[in-house]
Formats: sequence, C-alpha cells, structure tokens
Amino acid sequence: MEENNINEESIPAVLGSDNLVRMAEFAEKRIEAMKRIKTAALRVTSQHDWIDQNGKPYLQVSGSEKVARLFGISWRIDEPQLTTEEDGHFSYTYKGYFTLGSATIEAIGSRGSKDLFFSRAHQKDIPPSEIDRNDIKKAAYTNLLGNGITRMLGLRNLTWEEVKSAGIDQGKVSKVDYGKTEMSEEGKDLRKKIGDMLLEMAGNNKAEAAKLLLVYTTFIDKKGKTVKGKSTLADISEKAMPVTYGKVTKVYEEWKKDKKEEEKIKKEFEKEEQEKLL
Amino acid sequence: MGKSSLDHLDSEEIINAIKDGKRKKIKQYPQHVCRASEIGHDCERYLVLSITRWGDKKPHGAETEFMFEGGRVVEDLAIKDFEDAGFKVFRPEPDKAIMAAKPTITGHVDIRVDFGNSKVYTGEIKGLNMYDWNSLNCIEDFFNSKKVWIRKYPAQLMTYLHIKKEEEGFFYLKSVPRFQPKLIWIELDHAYMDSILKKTERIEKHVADGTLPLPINDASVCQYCGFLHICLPEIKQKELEFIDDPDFETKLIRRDEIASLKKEYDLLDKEIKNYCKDKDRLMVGDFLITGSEVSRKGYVVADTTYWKTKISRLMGGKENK
Repeated sequence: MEENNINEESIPAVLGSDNLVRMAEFAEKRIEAMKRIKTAALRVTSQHDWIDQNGKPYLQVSGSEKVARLFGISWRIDEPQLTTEEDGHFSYTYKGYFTLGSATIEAIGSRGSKDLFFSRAHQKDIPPSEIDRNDIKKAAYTNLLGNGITRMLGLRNLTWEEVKSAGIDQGKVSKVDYGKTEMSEEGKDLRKKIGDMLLEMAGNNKAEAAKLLLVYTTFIDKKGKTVKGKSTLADISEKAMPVTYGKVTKVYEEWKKDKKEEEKIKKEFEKEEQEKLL
Repeated sequence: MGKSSLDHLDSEEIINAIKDGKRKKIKQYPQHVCRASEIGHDCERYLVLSITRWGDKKPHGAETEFMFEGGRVVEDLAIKDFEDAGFKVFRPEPDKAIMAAKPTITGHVDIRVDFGNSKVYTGEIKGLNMYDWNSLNCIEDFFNSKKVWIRKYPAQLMTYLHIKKEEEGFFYLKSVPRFQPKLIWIELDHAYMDSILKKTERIEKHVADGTLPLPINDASVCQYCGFLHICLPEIKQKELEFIDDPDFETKLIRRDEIASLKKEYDLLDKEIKNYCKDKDRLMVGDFLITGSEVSRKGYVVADTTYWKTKISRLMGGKENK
C-alpha cells in the first residue's frame, strides 16, 4: 500500500505510543510496522471469518476475536446505554476501552431496531415492539468488539485487494447483500442469456468471460469518474440486468457478424489457395 | 442454450436458505436448575446466569447447530455399535433418580450397557474431531484439555455415576469424520464429585438470593460465553511480541523449506529399517547395510515440565504447520 493511500481508520491505533513504536523511530519503519501488523492480522483469519457485504470485505467478529487473541488485545466494557425514540424504535450503545501494550483506545458499538437486519423480513417491515431487545443488545456488543479490535489494528475500510494479499479468496467468502431482493423470472432469463453470450465469446473460458463482463459493465459516471463493473452475474441487480443485456447483446451481435465475416474471408482464402494449387 | 456456468447465485441462495432453516431451529429454553452437561464449566457466574437470565444468552450460530445435529447422529451410530456387537443396551428414559437428586442436577444419560457380566454401566457418548479423539485417552486428558467444553465432560459423567450410585462408567468417543470408536473407563472420583456438589449448592444459593459470583476474567473461557454482553468481564491478554531478527527469520524460512524433506526422509528411513530388520548384512547397489540386536535397559522417565513450541507459518486463509 502506498503511504498516501493510508486513511486514519486503516492505521493501527497500537502504533501510537507503545513498545512497537520502537520499530517506528523513523517514518519508513512506522509504515513497515503497520504493514506487518495488518498482514499478520489478516493472515490469521480464514475465508470463514469474512463476509462480502455489498461488495466490500467485512471481518466478522469471529475473525476479530481470533486476531485479538493472537495480538493479546485486552478490553473492558461499560454497561450499555439504551436510547428509545418517540416512534418506539430503540438502540443500544456500548463503550469499550481496548488496550495493546501501552496504547488504549475507546470504541463504540451500537445497534438499533431500525437496522434492516432486524426491522425487515420477507419484504415486510417489523414494528419495533416485535423486535427482541436482547437481539439488539447482543448485536451492539458484537459490533463494539469488532470496532475496537479492527480499529486497534487498522483493519478497517480494507479493500478486497488487501484482503486477497493475505490469501483470502473473495469468491469463497459468503455474500450478504441487504438491498438484494428475489430476482424475477425475466431477470433470471436475461442473466442466463448474458452468461451464455459471454461464454461463447470467451471460447467457454469462465475466467475470460468474467473479464468480458467486467469490461461491459464498467462505465463512466456523470462526474467523469470510472465506475468499476462486475465480474460475476450474481452481483448484477434486477434493475441493471436489462441494461447489461442490451450492452452485451450489442457486442455479441457485432462479434457474431465479425466472426461470420472472418470465416467468409478464411473460406475465400482457402478456396484461392486450392485453386492456385490446381 | 444450457445453464450458464457463470451463474453462481442459485447455489448460494440454497445454502443461505438451509442456514436460515437451521437458525429457526435454534431455540432457547428456560433453565431452572443446574445441568449435568454444564456443571463442569469453569465459571460459576455463567452457571448462575444460565438459570437466572437464560433468555439473554446469545444463541449459537447455524454453523454450530450443524455440528450439534451431527453429534446427535453420532449418538445413534454409537448405540448401534454396541447393539451390533451383541451387548445388551438400555436407552435410558428420563431418569427418576436424576430428577430426585439433591442438590438438583438434571441430565439425560446417553446409554447404559451390560457387557455380559450382568452389571450395567453408564456411558456418555461424544463425537469428536480427529485431533481431540486422538488426544483423549484417560480422565486427566479431559481435565487438561484446552477446550472449555471438553473439560466439562468428566463432571457430566461423574454426576450420573454419583446419582446412580455407581463407581465406574465409560466415555464412548467416536471420531468425526472417520467414525472410529474409542472407549475410556472412568472411575467416580469422590473428591471431585464432592467439589461439584458444593459448587451446585453455591449456585443454588446465588439463584435463591438473586446474587452473582464474581466474573473469572479468563479470555480462554470468556471467548465462548453467551453471556459476555451482560457479564462484561475485563479481558486481559498478554500482548504479542514483535521482534526484528533477520538471522532468526532466515533460519525459520529454511526450516520451513526443508520440513517436507525431513518428513520424506523419516518415512523412507522407517520403511528401509523395517525391511532390514533381522538381516545382519545386506548389500544393495553401492550400499552396505549391517545390523545387530541391541539390548536396552528399561527406565522410567521422571515427571518433568517442558516448554512446548509450535511454529506456524501464516499463509493466509490456511496455516502451514
């Protein structure tokens, strides 16, 4: 990672003032130590500790606890605070103090009844009165542990590239997409057609087909910024499916036309060659 | 056009539906008294909370539920093992003696077997991964296990033995996934059982008085606890030491590189020496092999302590041991 790409959240808090700072007498060494901590922390985890949450890597609390055990992070946690809103919705907030060596940081963990995970099921809203307070409380505690440990070691806002460098395969990680709803039969049909066209163009090579999909779904937004596309069809939403289908079909038809033309030329060439021989 | 091989969505949706189905099966039930399967737990606060605040316990995940279900299947397989061997097997129903015992510890005996000597023995069946299955061979191995749940097993079996007024029982361990059997005889340790009964009385008193024992603050136990979010113990752990020593690192890398060669050498050496056994002279190609019988005086190795070092190369995603 380049030094200028490091944001505050990705700097291990432990590097602030403890014995590891001995390794960071010089700026370069500090960066090196940071890389070492992050790499070691990431390498202790396995694919089961990660979730692909809306396309971003998310270290589950199981992974955070594993990393905390290895690094020997200590913590103490205050009693949680319950906040209730006028509409009946509520949230729990835990505050904790995480220590590694002589560095201590404060972290907050919070969860509320408005979180989609608790407030929606089978495309229906669940009223706050029917949401179990204990579930929210437990989730807030889990959130605190995750926040404290990952902040301490700079494991926040990671990219898949960083996680991949530690041997975690994004393809093998479970996916969670809270915004995703069941795809209609039409959507599924388009998805299948897109897949077939891509595979045909890629000569039945799945990796090549994935690359093609990435190319055809990458676009430039209104601000002129390149928006990276998708390399698996499962990541394309119902809404984007017809657009992708249109783009891929256009390319596919041109490719077919070119292929026919190519074959025609090839045949003519072969015919000419045969005639010369005769 | 056939089914697109790029389409991963369906398999993932199916697995998620299966996991959701399992999650729905995870239920928490009220607990009024101590349970034999839990009474060996290291933390008395946990045991009190299990009764007074059972509803607050964080339920286990779908992944653990899969394992529990597997365990129940192993139990049936184990019972079949005894039946196939021709032993007289009793599948105990809820036991009156257990329900009437004071202090009250409830439980469900897995199996009682008559091995042919007209005496019926109480057994506890456990399905274990290969590592645990290999490492458990006597009662001390259970007590010394690093795993909180394995340390609870002796108290469970001994509670049944105590209630049924029996001096001997057994663990029947089946390995998962190879399903190999292992039987370990256990004698009722009266002193240990006495400590369990006293512990049960303390728990009953806390429940009656509405008080809580102090937290134990042991990360190795607390990490698995479902009451962490209400117990809020202070977790103290020893920090990892980072050292910069290129020579030492080079040695570790080299050690790792030649590890597979050593393994190959050891295997070959064993195979060759087995072949050469009882042959005093042997010529193979350029190699002269001689052998002789050596007498060795037996001795007993005195008890000692040693530092066990485990070196793992972090490969990311998988560990190279």
